[in-house]
Amino acid sequence: MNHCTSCQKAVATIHILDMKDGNIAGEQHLCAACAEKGGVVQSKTHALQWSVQALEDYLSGGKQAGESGRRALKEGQTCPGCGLSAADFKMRGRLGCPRCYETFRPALIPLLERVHDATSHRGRYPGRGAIPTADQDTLAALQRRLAAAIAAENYEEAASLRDQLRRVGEPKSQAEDRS
Amino acid sequence: MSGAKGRDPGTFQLGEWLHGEGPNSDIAVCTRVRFARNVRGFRFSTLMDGEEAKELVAYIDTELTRADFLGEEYPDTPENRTLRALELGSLEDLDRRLLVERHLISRELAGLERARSVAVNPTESVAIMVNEEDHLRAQTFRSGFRLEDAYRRAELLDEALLRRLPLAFSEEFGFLTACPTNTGTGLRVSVMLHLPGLVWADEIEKATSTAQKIHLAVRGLYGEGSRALGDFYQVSNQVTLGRTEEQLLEDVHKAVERLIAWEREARAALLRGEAQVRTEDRVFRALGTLERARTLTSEEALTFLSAVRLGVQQGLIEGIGIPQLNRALLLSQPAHLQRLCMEKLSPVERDQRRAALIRDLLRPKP
Ligand SMILES: [Zn+2]
Ligand SMILES: [Zn+2]
Repeated sequence: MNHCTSCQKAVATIHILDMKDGNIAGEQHLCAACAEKGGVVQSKTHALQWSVQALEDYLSGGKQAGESGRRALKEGQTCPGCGLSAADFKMRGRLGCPRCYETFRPALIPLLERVHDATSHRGRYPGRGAIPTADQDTLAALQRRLAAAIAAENYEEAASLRDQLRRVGEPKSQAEDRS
Repeated sequence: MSGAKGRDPGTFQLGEWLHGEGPNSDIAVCTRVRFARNVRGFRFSTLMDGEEAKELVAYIDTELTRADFLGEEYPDTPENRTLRALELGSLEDLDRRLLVERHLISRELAGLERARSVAVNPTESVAIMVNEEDHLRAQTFRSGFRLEDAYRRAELLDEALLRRLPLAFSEEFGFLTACPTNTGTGLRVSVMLHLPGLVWADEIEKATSTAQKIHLAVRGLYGEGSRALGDFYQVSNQVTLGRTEEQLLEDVHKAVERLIAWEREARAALLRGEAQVRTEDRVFRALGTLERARTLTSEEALTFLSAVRLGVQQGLIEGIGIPQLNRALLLSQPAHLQRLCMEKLSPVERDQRRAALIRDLLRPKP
């Protein structure tokens, strides 16, 4: 068994090879603790730690952070969607709701760049019906209330919610209308 | 899962990941594909309070448990296209640990205080964790090395989710997740590999590969902290944003193919020349211990089962099958052992029962 190339003490359990054109361009052998510290893997027990680390570096003007980036995450700023503050985000390393991606966008871009080496999505794209729209927020809220009413066996409310849902439209037909 | 109370180890269901079938299943135990998804109109799970969490879980579980949730296109029987939700707060701690040992839920989900659940199908080839770090962690499992098949199923599962639930998506950042490290595709592809050849030949340190600059992680599957027990490793992608699902699959595919080829070479080398007798000795000592020992720690069980597994696959040992070994691997874990014995066991009793169970499972059946 080889030892961790970072701390030289613990047994290395995480092995990372960088491949370029099918050849090994570099390798790292790390113990779980060092891998987590380095942001290579997400810790199971301290799941928050590593993205916090990346954020810390960023906020304190580490390698990747520029002046503009640091100013982008103002301490007092909060997300209108969930109330998460910039300080909370910094502390937890987790966002609070989908809108946080807009709220903290200037701070997120360099973070994503660092973690993924990319800043925008290139993958799977749901049908039009799944793209966020104001209508769908209403729809989502109605569906939720309906589910809750059914669970509570409140059939009168459920019936009225079902009527409203029919008026707003099922997700499927809504998608077809728009396309 | 409902059969969890059965006491005959022979009837205990194995779950998809331990079937021991599929391409390259002598090395690749199981393929897993997971999508992280969130429902719009709710805060992310990590910020959620008691009532909101309950409401979310009730809402999601209602949708997930509809008959034929996965839809006709999903390549399985109607029963297997329907999910059953287990509200984790209503389970005993032992049963939550049972689900962890069966790889259906994470340790984190089991340990949470807030409302959370898991929706599974009867053969345990689909498991959706509800309210872990994200609202949904939708997973498909296939035994062996079957990336495309597992992915196709995950895609159909994702489509079923999209039909029923308004998922958070942005054109810029893709599927939005609580942690920015999962956003974009929200995809994690992992293959569980048994690599005793590379470990014994001391080459495991060199093993793994990825395409271009993409990082892949290879980590030990069993064992807390820094130790990899039983020579089981999990290979998975780390990046989720900026690459298509196909590219991410391809990265993992290439890496796993290479590791499998490497492992085969290592195994062949271990059975050539001077190395052969040492390898055989190690395999048969392990077998002898499992057949005779009166107490076994779970660490010992994993180590010896790994050696015996290698012996069976390389044709050194006859009369023992991989399903028997998989059964021993699963049932010798603490929660399964206690469920099997229908009582709470002290660590000493557990080691005795574990030894008895494995002796029994490995005994040639008339
Ligand atoms: Zn280390
Ligand atoms: Zn927010």
